[in-house]
Amino acid sequence: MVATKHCAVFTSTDLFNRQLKTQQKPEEAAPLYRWFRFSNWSDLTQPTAPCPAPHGPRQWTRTRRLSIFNHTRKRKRRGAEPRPRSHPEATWEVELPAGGAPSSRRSRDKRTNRYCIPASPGSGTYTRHGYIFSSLAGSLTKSSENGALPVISVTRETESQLLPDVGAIVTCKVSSINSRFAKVHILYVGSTPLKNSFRGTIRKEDVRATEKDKVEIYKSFRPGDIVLAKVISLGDAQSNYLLTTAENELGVVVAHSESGVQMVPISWCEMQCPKTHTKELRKVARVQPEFLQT
Amino acid sequence: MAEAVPVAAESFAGCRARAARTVLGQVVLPGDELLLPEQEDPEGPGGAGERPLRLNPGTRTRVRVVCGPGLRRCGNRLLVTKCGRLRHKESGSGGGVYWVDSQQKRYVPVKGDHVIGIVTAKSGDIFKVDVGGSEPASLSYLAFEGATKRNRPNVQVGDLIYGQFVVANKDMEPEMVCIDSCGRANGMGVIGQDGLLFKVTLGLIRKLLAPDCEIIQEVGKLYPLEIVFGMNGRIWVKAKTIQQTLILANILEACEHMTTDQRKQIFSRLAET
Repeated sequence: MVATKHCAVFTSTDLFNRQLKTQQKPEEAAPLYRWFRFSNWSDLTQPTAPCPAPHGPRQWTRTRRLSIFNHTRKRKRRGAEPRPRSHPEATWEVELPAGGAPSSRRSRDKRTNRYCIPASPGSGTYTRHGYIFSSLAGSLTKSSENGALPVISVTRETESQLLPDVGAIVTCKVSSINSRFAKVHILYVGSTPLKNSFRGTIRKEDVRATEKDKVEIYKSFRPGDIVLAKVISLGDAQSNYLLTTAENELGVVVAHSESGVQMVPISWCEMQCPKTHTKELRKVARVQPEFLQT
Repeated sequence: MAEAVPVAAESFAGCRARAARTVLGQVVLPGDELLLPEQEDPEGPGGAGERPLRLNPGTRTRVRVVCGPGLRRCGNRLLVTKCGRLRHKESGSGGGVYWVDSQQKRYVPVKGDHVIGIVTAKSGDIFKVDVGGSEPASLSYLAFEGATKRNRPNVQVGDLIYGQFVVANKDMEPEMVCIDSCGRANGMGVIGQDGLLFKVTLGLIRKLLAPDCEIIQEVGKLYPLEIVFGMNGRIWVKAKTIQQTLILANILEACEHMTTDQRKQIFSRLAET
């Protein structure tokens, strides 16, 4: 027999939803994928007629599905023992990218029974090619809600650390300034304090929305100021978050004057010390009146 | 110069505020509190005694007093932050300026000061210049007269630069330039090859740079020379021979502690030789 390659091409991407919702055997429903036969990799692009499955129709057993839900069946290690192949000929395997410990994957299972977990991805997971992969090393949790798909999530500790995401409003403290940028320590994400502070950078062109080239960092921030900023990028190899204050509601919220007294904002670019009445230049945030505490 | 100044017992550690007027010309120490003239009189309005009830408190005249270096406003009094002699100068409007004359060798960069710096490093398109402060100042290569991206100035590591600060504060590293606001050098730039650079106190520099300074006029009559004063306490001197250069350097260093008579004596002796 000529060694041929078989390729399973999925005709539908909502693989799991259909199986769960219809609650019927897959062979009774419309087929989700068809088998094609080809002899060379280059023939893959040419249209060919579908052929029957090389190893017969799939057989589903109810008990196998339930055991996976209960997690009683112990998972086999890859490479510990060779998997029994039902088809003696060479078959084309779907090479999925190795990204962490997959939470549910049976792509290499060449038995007649194939398993699919109907679920939707939660935190700590991502989907690729119709499968759910874990992106963290941790414990698997499944939350089954009524009527909706169970959500699979992978958690590392009892409480997950909140990371600043792109577009999040963060509260940070200026640690040092330069003529080109200001370095800050990120203390709060939203209203949640962080256990470890992250480093951030506010570039000169991200301080204001107008007249970006006339900005002077010394007239916008000083070391020790508390600043509200928004994350625009997760940063480069130096792992400094890039922040911006180019909005009316972003900028310096709390600042101390040279005499050590907390200053009062008087305009969008000036703050005044109540003790010495000296004015200092800052890029002041326009805080909504309901958030001000007097 | 160093006469014995009687220190009053009650002024110890500033436990009682004194009137600024009585302390003029005397040595003050950090922590002393000084009362401004309008607050001295215990009988008059605003004094320490009982104040008469007034219907229009706004009619009391307020005198605007300027706090100079070495003084800081503390409430409605002046707090001394450096040790030295208290000075006062009357100005046309307001109560005048009070300041403390103090001896200091360590320089703190101030915007607008003309200083002499030594180039320590070249990185990219800026030079790092040591000016005697806490951080080396940065000098862009475009900040010279006639410098363009193609026409770079001929500055090497170790050269002396005379320039002024455009950015100098306690939060950032200072930046200096060798051109003025019009783009002209105005005497700034790289200082010539020979000569001697030496360090003196900041007070002496201010004295030498005061208008109508006798020392400079006398030194100029002695030898033909080139001299550059930097506000960071550095002086560069160049005369015809090395011996003359060294003599001038010694004279300028010693001028700080000599009286006028001693100085005239030395100059006359040098002029004879």
